[in-house]
Parts: sequence; C-alpha cells; structure tokens
Amino acid sequence: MSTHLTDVELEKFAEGRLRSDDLMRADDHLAQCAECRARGAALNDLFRSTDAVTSRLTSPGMHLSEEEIHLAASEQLEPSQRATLGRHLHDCATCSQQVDDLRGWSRRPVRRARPLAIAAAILIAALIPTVLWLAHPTRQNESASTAGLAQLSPSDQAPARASLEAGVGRLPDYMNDLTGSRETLMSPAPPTVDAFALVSPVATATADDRPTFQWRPLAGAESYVVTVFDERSNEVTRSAPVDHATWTPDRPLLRDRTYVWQVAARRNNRTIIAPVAPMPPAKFHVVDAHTADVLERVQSQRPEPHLLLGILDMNAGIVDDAIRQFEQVGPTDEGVDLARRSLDRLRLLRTP
Amino acid sequence: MLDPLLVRFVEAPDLACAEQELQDLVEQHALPLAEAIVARKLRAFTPGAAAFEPRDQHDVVGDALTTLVERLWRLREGDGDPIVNFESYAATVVRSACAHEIRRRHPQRARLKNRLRYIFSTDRRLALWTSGDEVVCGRAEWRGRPIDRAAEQAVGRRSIEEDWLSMERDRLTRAIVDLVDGSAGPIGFEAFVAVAAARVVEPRGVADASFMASARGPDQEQAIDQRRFLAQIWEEVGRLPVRQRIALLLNLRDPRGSGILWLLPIAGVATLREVARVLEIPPGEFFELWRDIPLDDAAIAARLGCTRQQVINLRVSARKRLLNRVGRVSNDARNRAGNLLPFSTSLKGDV
Repeated sequence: MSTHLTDVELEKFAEGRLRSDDLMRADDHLAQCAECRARGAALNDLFRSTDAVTSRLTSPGMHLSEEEIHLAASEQLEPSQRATLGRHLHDCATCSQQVDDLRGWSRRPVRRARPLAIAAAILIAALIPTVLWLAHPTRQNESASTAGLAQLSPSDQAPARASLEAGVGRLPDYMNDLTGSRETLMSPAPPTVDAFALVSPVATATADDRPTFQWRPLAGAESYVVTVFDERSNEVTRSAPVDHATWTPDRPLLRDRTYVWQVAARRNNRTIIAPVAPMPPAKFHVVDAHTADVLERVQSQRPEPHLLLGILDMNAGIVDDAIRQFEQVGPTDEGVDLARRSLDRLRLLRTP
Repeated sequence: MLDPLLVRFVEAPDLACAEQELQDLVEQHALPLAEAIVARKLRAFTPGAAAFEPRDQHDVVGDALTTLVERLWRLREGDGDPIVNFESYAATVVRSACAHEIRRRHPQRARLKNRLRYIFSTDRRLALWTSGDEVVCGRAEWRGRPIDRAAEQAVGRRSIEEDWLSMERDRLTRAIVDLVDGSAGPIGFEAFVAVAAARVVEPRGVADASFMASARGPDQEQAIDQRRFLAQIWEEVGRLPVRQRIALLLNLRDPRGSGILWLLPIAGVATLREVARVLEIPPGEFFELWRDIPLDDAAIAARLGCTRQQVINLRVSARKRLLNRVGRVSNDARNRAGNLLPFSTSLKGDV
C-alpha cells in the first residue's frame, strides 16, 4: 500500500484541488485504506454531505412559500395542503427548519419584566395552589396516562411530545393514501344486490404483520378467497377458499408497506368481487418493526397509559386502536382536550 | 381546465412527440421566464457578503425547470390537477426555487423574516397586505394602501442597533411597532425586512440548513445506515442509461454548490475510477475533468451534443427513476434503509 494521505491531501481531494496524477494516486490509496477513508470522512464532514446529496438526488419538488411556513408553524394548514406539504417538510431540511424555528419561537412563553416585589408576591401567591395541584389526584392521572414516555428513546419521544405540545395527535404521511381510498369508498355508490363490504383492515395501519381480514358475509356465498397485493398490484398472498368471513394469513406480511386487498366470493358458480368499481381498493399499511416494538412495549405497561398509547397509535395511523385509547382517557386527565381533538379527527376518518 | 399551451404536450401520441412538445414549452416559455425572474430576484437580494453569482442563477434556473418538468410529466400521466395557466404556474415554481435558494444561503435572515411576517399577521395593531405585485406592511388602519415610497426611504435610513433575531416575541413586537409608528405610511415588506435584518449575522460562508441541521454528527449506527443508503442509490445510478448518469452526476453538487462526487470513494461506495467507468469517460479524461466538476447544464449539453433543456430532461428522468426505485428520502428512511447492498468490491477495509 502507498503512503497514507495527509490531511491536506484529503481536503484537497474533496475540494477538487489535486492534480490529476495526485488524484489518481489518492483514489487508488483510498480504495485500499480504511484509515484514510475514515480520516477523509471526518475532515470533510461525510455525514452531512451524504445527507445533503441523498436529499438532492431525490429532492422534493416545490418548496414552501412564506405564507405556508407561517401556516405550517401555526398548525393552520388546510387538510388538502397538509399531506403534500407534510411530505415536503419530511424531506426538505431547509423548509422544515424554517417551520420548526418559527414554531418554537412563536410558542416560547413571553417574558415580561416585573418589579421584584410584584414577582415575589406572585410567587408566594402561586406556591399554595401549586402545592395543592401537585398533590391533586388529577396530577397523578396525568402522569399515569403518559407513563412510559420518558423511557422511550429520544427519537421515539419526539413525535409524541410534538403531539402533546400541539394539543392533538398527528397522522402519518401514508394515511393520505389510505384515507383517500376510504373517502372514496364512502361516496355514494350504486347499490347492487351482489355487493358486500370489506370491514377490516381498511384505511388504517396495523401493528400486526399477520392482520385478520374481515368482511361482511354475502348471502348464499359458498366460499371466499382473499388476495393481498402490494402497491404495484403484485400479488403478495392469497388464501385458500374459506367458508366464513374472516381470514388470517399464515405468513407475516413485509412491514413498512402499504397493501391492497380484495375478496372473491363464490356463489352459484359465479364469482363476486369486493370491493368493486366504482369503489376504490381497500388499503392498509403494516407499520415498521420498530414502531410495532415500541407500541408493544408501551401496551405491556399496567395500567395502560391511554393518552400515550392513543398518541402513538395515531402517529402510526392505527385508527381504531387510537380511537379506543383516546376514549379511555379520563375526564379529569389533563390530556382530555388532546384526546377529544384527536378523536374528532379520527372519527372523521370513520364517519361516512 | 388545462392551459391550451399544454394540450399538445399532454395529448402527444408518443413519447418522442411529447419530448419535442416539452422542449418547445420549456425553451419558448419557461426558460426565458425563469431566467428573467431568477435574475431579478437574486439581483435584488444582495444583503451582505454572500451575493449571488451568475453560476448560482444557472443552478436556480436548472432546479426550477427540473421541478417544472417533473410536474409536467406527472400531468401527462394524469397525476395531479390540471394547470390552468402554464406561465403563471411556471412563475410560481421559479419563485419557489428562488425563495429556497435565498433561504438556503441566508437562513438566519429567513428566520427573522418569518418572525416579522408572523407578527405582522397576528398583532392586531399591524397588518400585511398586497398591493399590485408587492407585499406591504404597516399599521392595521393603513391596510389596502400602496407603498409610500417616501416613508419607505425614511425607514430605510433608520439604523438598527440590535440583532432582532435574538429578540423574544414581545420585544420584537415592540421593536416593529416602534419602527412602523416612526414611519409616515405603508412600507414594502422586503424593504422592512432589509432594515430589520441589518444586524443579523449568517454563519460562516454560505450556510445551508441541511448542513447546520446535523451539527452534532452521527452515531455509528446512523453513519452505517447512511452509507448503505448511499450504496443503494449508487447501485441504482449504475442502472440508469448513460446519458442520464452523465446529466445527473456531472452536475451533482452539495448545498454550497461544490462538487460532491468525492464522497463516493470516501464513504467506501465507489472509487473515482468506478465513477469514470459508470460515466463511460476514460479515467485519464475524468481525472482531468475533476477540477471542473460540477459542470453546469450548458457544459454537459456540449459534452452530450444536445440542448440544455434536454440535459434537464435527462436529469428529471434520472431522478424520477431513483425516486421510484429508492423511494422518497427522509431522515427516517435514510436511517432505516432496508436493503443491505454490497459495497464496491474494489474497496478494502471498513470506514
């Protein structure tokens, strides 16, 4: 192996300032030498450069206008904007940092200068109710309903804390795709004698990678076959004919994927498919393994921290579980307003 | 309703006809518009040291046209709402690219501007409105009036002694109200921002949010995942048609505008010889070319024997395919890039 590259050479390499023969030698050496690659990575800030380049290669279209930054920071985006801009903010560091900065700054409590004596009086006046509040049972309820939050990793805590701060749970980006189909499903469709409905999972995410598929029975049906497709319409799995309106796949589905499913009912030598046009495909998403693991850990706590679980389920798009958890948040819990607002949003997804 | 300008492109019977129609659209309508808007926007914006150079303008035009062309192809595929007014839409895309470039280069000023807009929009004593093409600010009771140029000039002569970006909300509100109260009439918002940002200091050199974002550096796991993701992208780049590879890689630059291909050998993903091979450029020629990379679209067009617009088309196609194959990039996705792909076989050892 040739002699190691100096720091100056490594910097010049990245800056395009090496002569072509030196560049060739450096390239050959780097191919063989992990130590010089490591030094080059540190000197030239490989991590941030790579991050920037991968963003650029798959960069996300139009950036937010100043008005949109304002609306996003104030949580005032229209539902139609939310999905598109949310996706962009997910991908664009420049825009998301502008939004985060404005959001953080605008929510920072306003500090007002007060004469010391007034401040002292306020402090003393505040002490008694504070002590009472700390001892009050509702305070215990609050900590119980979010118990386990502090045990999560910082990156897992962040979205939950963002929801707590925003006062409402958030849905993941992929819900737009899933609920889009749901909204169309609920639009008036011509009733047909042969129609039967798929029940679950539809327009939701699921933590279970072997979800149980359920549908409404079709009168007189002899058997049903369930077929699950990926988003490119490739068949992923198919049931054998079953005679009841439920089926669980033998093998797990790949996680962090969105799927479409349909049921073919057999009756009098005829096959009747659900859903059928003009109804759109029934979609669901299997959450990634890490999210499923976090949910399982928090669910194993006793008593269940309903507010935290509702937030986590909602963040993952597991609609029915989120509704169930938020419904159990007690009326004296400090998170009851968050639960109510979140339920309003979630029920909209479930209301025809 | 679709803009009649776009009908021939959308209804073109085959890909070749569509590409020709698109080229006409871009060259006759979008490109002149983009160059005019970018020149005006970036020339008008010269706060302090990091002024924009002609090369920056080319980059912004290229970025804007890439976004526009991507949108037009989606439109042809029936994805998204129809574009009712093409030139107006193109202008919006170009302005977005300009605003992004300004934010990227002057993030602190952009932060202050967001805060000023926030206060003008939320404090009942103040208001922000449009008059013609301009955004105007001032007292609420002035709403709807055009800019008072004399008042604007008077405000422009005011010197600001403090960094307004360091102010909390109440102090910044008071400072704004004081400045507005001292003016005789409505002021252009851009002019107001220029005065307010007088003491704002940007980080050294050209700043970029994505660079500033991760100042803490990665942990080992993040770095490994990121390298896997880069390897995945590199593998997909190798599957692109060679002209797309050239259009994409020779123009590739970091947020500060510098060449970025160096990261492939440093990350242990590919040697420069392999990059040259993927680009089908003899290694000797590639090593000579290295100092000039990233090339602008005109230089790439000359190399490929095509128009600048065709270079943009090639890059759009390349990005589209990368997006389809690698998926939408996000920090999360990058951090959990699923498939473990083999790194370059010619690289030994581990970083």
